[in-house]
Amino acid sequence: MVQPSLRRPLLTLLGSVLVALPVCAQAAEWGSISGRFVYDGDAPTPPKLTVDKDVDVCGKHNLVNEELIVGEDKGIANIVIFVRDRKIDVHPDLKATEPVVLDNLNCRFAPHVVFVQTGQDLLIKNSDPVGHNSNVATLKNPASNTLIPASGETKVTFRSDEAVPAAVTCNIHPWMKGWVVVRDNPYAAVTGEDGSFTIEKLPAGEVELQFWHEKAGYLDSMVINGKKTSVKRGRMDVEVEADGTDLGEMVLDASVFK
Amino acid sequence: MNLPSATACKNNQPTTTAPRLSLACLGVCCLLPILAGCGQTPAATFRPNMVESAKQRLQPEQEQQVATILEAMFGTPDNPVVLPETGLDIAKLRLAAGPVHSDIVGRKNGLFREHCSHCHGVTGDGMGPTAAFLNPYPRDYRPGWFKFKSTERADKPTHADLVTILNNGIYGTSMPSFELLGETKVDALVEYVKYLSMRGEAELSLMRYYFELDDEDEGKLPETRDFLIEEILLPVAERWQEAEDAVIEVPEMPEVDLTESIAMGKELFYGNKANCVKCHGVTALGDGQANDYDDWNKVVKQWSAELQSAHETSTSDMTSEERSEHRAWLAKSDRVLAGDALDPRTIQPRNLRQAIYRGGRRPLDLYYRIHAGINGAPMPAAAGTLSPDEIWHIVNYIRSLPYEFDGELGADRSMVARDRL
Amino acid sequence: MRNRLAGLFWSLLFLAVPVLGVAVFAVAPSIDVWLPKDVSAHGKEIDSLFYFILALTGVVFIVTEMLLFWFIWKYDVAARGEEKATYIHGSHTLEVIWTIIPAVVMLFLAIYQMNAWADVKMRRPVMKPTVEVVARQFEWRLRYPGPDEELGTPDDLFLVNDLHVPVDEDVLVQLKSMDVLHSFFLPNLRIKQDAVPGMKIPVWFKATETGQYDLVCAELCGWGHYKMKGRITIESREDFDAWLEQKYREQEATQPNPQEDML
Repeated sequence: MVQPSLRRPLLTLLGSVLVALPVCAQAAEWGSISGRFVYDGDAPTPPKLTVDKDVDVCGKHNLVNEELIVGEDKGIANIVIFVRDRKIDVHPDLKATEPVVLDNLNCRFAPHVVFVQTGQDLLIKNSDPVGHNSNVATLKNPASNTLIPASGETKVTFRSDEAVPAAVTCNIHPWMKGWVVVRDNPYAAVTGEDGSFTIEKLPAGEVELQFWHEKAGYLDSMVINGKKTSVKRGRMDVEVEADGTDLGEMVLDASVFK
Repeated sequence: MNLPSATACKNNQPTTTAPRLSLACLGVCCLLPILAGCGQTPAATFRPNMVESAKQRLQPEQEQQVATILEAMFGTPDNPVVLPETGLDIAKLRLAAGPVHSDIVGRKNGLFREHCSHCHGVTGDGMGPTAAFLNPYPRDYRPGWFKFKSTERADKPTHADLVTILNNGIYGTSMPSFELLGETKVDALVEYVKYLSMRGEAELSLMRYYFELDDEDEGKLPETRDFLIEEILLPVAERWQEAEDAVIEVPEMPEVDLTESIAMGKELFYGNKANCVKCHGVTALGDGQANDYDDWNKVVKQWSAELQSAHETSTSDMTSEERSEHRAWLAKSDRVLAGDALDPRTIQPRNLRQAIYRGGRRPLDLYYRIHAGINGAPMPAAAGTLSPDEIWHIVNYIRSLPYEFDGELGADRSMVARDRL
Repeated sequence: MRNRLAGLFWSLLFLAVPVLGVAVFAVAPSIDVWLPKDVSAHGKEIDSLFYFILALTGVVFIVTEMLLFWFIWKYDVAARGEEKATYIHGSHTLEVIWTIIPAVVMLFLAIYQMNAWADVKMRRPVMKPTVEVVARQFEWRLRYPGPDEELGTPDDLFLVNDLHVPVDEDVLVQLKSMDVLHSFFLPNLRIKQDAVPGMKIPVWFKATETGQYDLVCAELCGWGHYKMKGRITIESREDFDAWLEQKYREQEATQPNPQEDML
């Protein structure tokens, strides 16, 4: 019955078996990676958002579009850095137990970008006096959208990691947008207001980092310590030293965020 | 008759014309276009998800690999294949698949193409020939999102849920009822919809997976059983199977007076906790939120916005090779946006005063809608936020809305309410 | 010789038309392509009108066709030689005759059918609608008024394609269209009425026999016109009421599978 053209892939499909390796080895030494993202150009002023729902509550917060936040010292906030390696030793101190909190605060998502591990609870709260809903548009995990009344909360967990951070929106207040980074290991960070980040307690040796920003997507190239470095699909191999690896200043051209 | 047959006739005609011959020729001429039409129909093919392909910047050989894998896993529109992991019934699929024809015992085959593909497309991508004329657009099964079901928002619908949709149709949209086809045919069609949906989701995960490949994979997906079954097929198939046992439990309606329940429902509707009013509007006419999109349209909308900004990106930093690659991608993407996607349209919150409920009008259906929200649509899930009793009050209030006149509730209705229907 | 054959051929061909025409009508009822079974109170009158007009036109048809055959046969050049045809410039008498005869026939038909027309289109029974039928591409949406007999109230029953009516009772349908022109066609009840968007058209009939029959659309309404098929079930008052009640209970379900308790 099977046509000849179907046979080949079918055979491969049914024929080979992959032996899964147990992850038990523990690294001897641990180190950290740190760095700071810097904006090359005049720091842009984030545009004001149009607030047309619940104006009496949301209107008084002077909400701005947080797609691109550049601090006074040119640091770029909300860049996501995570380790791509699928099998990596995890430091025993880094067992995730506490839920990660994403708050609906002042008609915006706080923080703007959250990092959560698979299996860990993401606690979505609402500290506003108005009702919100949080529409988490994950691709691999089933997308969720829950109604969260004033001072209510809901819990979301994720089965698998997401290759791209997932947007969180509120359908009642269309200007609200946040992001959830879902990984299956604890090695990820989001840059703060000053553009700096640190990922701690990584196993020493080579790891592959990946960089993402909501407006630029996966970063393609950057200038690291004065040298233009191409990071295809946002990926870069980094050697983790036992006494810490500092990537220094990573400069991104303004055109990246166009 | 028509031009081609007239020419054909002339060529066959002997120079001395007997009347009989000319008549016979006339008959043959009439039949010729029909006979010719039968022999030349090309085999139906599944259309690749070009929007995702363009988004993921797939190369032609990668598109080819996805097509080959999918054909091995799912077969073709005329000859479906199912792996046991899908839990699908090939006998049912055969009834629904293929061109419209009667088999040896006179049973009608090709049901999907007879009844569904006109709107939903042979691929189930919601882009059949009539799709562009309809509002809302016909459902695209490929992302695996279904709106009207008895399971939680993120879950798949049960088989019975889809049967209900086919039986009742979706009043308020262009989806008609297929109940009179009979149980066997409806059952086969539902199986085929599930098949197309699984295939579509598998295609999406395959296409998205290229991004996650390591450099040493050289842009090729592994064609191992472990990868294709465990990583791609099972995560999709299992969720369809899990849905069968995941029907939402509905507690009984609280025993309070209906008028009282409606009053409480009204309070919730307008209150800050359920917040229905924000989208469905102060008048409940569905005019509270006019510029939101459903998830299917959002995909196209967001991607066309990305494409727009890609068009504006300066190419001065690129090497000439990168630049020509970028331009080729832009050209392809523009083609895809014009030819493989329908213009995104906003979604309107339901007008609750029409007594038209797309996902069913039973109190039970409305309970499911509020409890689980509507997958793919902006409607959020209220489960956990609202108690079952509160949901029931809202159900009762909503059911009273088409008949509410001048703020008065009760049995005495006026012509205004009647004319609205 | 060949010319004589040609004359023969054409005259016989014209003869074949009335012969085959009559044969088709003679055979049709026995191979079930005749009028569908009539189960309506007013159908007999419609059908007898049909037979009457058929007989009338049938006679004219046969006579005309026979004349055609006879002229071709008789005045074949090959048979009669090179005889010249006579030129006639009209005949006033003939023209008057062939104008007056059809006019009288038409007038007679117009008067003769008035009662049948009035029964179907004018003498509406005084009652509230039994059911509202909304035609739309490509299905029939039904709404029964419920116990209060009033459409547009919370006890309305909403269904699709599956029309039920009681036997031996006047049935009044309120016909609407949601989108384009459709036609509400019940072949077995001899009912055909266009549905026009924006209009509420009353349609009435009385079924005389129980059974299940087709409800189809008889006005090309779009690509799915041929699939716009419903079903009418004519049943006793008790069965009809029981059916309404069961459907209403299903519509008001607050738990899945309420039909189980009913068994």
